[in-house]
Amino acid sequence: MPLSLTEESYLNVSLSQRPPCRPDGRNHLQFRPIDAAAGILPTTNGSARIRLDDGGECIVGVKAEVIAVSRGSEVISVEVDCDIVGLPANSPLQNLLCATLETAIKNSLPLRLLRITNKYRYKIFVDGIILDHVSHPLTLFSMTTYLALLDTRLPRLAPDSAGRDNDDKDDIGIPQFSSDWDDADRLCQNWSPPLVQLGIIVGKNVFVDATGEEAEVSDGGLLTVWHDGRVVGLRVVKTRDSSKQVFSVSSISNAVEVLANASRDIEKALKGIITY
Amino acid sequence: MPRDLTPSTIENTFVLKALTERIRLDSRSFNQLRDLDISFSSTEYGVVDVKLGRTRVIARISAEITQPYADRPYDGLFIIATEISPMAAPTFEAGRKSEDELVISRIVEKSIRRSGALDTESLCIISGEKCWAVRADVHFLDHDGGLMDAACIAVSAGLLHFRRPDITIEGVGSRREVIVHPITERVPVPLAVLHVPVCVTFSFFDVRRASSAISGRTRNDEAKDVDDDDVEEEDDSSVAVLVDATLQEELLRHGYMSVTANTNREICQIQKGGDMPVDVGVLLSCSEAAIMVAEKVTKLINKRLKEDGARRNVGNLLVEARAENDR
Amino acid sequence: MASRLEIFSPEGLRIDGRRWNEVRHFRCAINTHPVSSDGSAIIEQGNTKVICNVIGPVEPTLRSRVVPDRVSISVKVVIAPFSTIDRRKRSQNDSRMQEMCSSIQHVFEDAVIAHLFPRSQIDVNLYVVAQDGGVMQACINATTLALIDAGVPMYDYVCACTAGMLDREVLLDLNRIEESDMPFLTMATIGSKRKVALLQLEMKVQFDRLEPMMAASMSGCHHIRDLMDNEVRKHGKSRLERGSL
Repeated sequence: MPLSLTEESYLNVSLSQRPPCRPDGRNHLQFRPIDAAAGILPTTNGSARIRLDDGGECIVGVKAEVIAVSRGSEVISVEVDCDIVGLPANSPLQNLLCATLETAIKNSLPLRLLRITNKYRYKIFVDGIILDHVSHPLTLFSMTTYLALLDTRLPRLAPDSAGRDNDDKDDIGIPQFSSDWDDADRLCQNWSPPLVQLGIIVGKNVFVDATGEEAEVSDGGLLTVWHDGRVVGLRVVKTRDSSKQVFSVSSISNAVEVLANASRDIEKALKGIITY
Repeated sequence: MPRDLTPSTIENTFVLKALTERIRLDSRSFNQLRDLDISFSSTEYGVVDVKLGRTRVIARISAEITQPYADRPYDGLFIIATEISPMAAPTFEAGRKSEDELVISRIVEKSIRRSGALDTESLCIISGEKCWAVRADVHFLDHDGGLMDAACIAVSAGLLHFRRPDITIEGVGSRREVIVHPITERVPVPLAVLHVPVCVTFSFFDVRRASSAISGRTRNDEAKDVDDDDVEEEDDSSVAVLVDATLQEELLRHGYMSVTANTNREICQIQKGGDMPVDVGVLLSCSEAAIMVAEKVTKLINKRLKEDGARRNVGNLLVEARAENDR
Repeated sequence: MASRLEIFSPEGLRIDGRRWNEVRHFRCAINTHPVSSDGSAIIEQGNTKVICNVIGPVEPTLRSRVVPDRVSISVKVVIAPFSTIDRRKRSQNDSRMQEMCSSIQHVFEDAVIAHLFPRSQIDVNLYVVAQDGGVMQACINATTLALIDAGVPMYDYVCACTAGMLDREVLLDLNRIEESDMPFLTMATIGSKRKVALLQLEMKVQFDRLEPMMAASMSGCHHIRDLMDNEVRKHGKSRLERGSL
């Protein structure tokens, strides 16, 4: 249901006040409660589900496939795909979600984590289903992906074939894996996945975890890619059809700072869910 | 968008009332098939014209040489194309798959392809390189119910009738070549048909629903009736089971089940859609009836094939053309 | 790979250790997504896991979906690419999937008391997040529970179960390996009587074997009905205690 003109201007005014006033009484850095679980799907290498307070829900499954690569290839094979229920395939929203996450993971994932032998490497598939979304699903999808990647385990090579790996031979056949799942390596033992955070900008204020209505009156959105304790990527996102997307430099730097703080908190919270 | 046909209420009550008195509008008995006529093209192999009452379907089988799928190097290809054009009935739209069409194509696919009626391994020429691709094109010319039954019979008969050109392989190793002999040169080869699946559709009518409609009771009473059902065990007589429904009956029926059977007493496929719930016993007896129909239809197909063979074999040309004859 | 495994051992045990007439571990929960839908359920049958969301009855979004005397049900099935052992992306327009959706739709159009909601629609969304055989049956069972949770009046529970035939042995509730190795049928019953709403058999089987298969799957359906009924009653009771009805 679209907002009426009166509602829109009321919301806009209250959000652009200093200090701002959000309809649900949160402060600009505050998230609504989320319900998160990891390791829910035994058929995947890693999986997670996050549900928001407004009913938005996302399930992500991570699968790893063994692929043969030519020697010296530096390509990191990651594929991110998501299915947004209610939207047709290849909708702009889906493309934004997949492309953002895919680039973010590709840019931060070290090649050595995917290496099996000289000839074989893992290819990582991240597939998400967004069961329902009321607000912009980008943060939701990113958080779920983050959690699923944290949960991801890749099987180790079987002990007898692992030795040969060091010989640096090219003629090693198809790798044999250890069948002990408990012994598998965590993908994120020494790596922390990127986290994408979307904030909306209204006047001089920035808000995280915006509701659908809040996004509807915003000037535009800004996404940040957070990896390893710093912001590594930035992009302006359209949050509504008529958004102006013209921001002052100060509001962007302010937004980056706010989103970085939020990302730090979320990362900490999500890491707390998984116990190694 | 052409709308689906919806029969009038008067038509509805009339047909149902008649059924409660065990009368069908075309005076058939409940388990009687319409007149089935199968004829083959006199010029081409694998072209079959099936008339089931006023329903008419033509199937055309063709074969060409292609490359097999990489994951199945020993299997030939077998494709059944069942596209329903507006020629059959104005409710079908060209290029847009309606739900009926989907069901029909899936059932024909399951009946014939998945049941292994055609031995696809026999279509292999050189493994991984060349194989026959057999294609069955089904054209629906007139729609008076029972499209899938007619399509299934047509494809089955077509496969039996079809002859592919003979081939020889020359050379060895990677330099093998396939020579196709035109049918005017060598006697063409029949396909390896393992069994003849025949699809039979049964239509279910809830006679009680009919009687309540006639007595003018509302649907709310009906809902109460169903509650009562749980108490008293129902007998099968509340369901009228019709074989080979006409279009009118198809539009009015409350549920259906199509069963594909063959003469080896095998059931190749059962599809009972989710409509009207029916007692298991009824479903079992339908399956058994399907086998009898299959036997009857197979007999007719064989008879027609024989007649066609005799017609083609004028002057015993085929016998003369046999390879084992003295040259 | 399947040929190396013994599908049914001489001692009468299957690969996962069940006897012929045992259903897989069955777990279900209703009202799992109270915010985003009117009715919801999660079903786990062995390693097959399906989530169902029901929205409605509501006013139809499209004029073409208005049926003057009854409710129209539309079913959408989403199969997650990660649900199978090997990742596989399935398109929505796959004819198998479309057939599955329309079968489920027809089952429930006759199972809910449709004339109580004329000119309205019910949307059923099914998400298959893990599959290990019996996707169709899990979808039907999940839809039943979600419709009950949504408060849509139905004549009775619709329960589905598969049964297969290996040589002369009937096996109930097949997993994926068993499914790929033998002819099997999916049956959905309505209520605890012998009423069959849906019956699908996709592979060739001797006619004499049909009856034992149908008998087995019917008993499986009734068993699942009891399990689902327990869950619904348990849920109802706990809600009553919380006073949130």
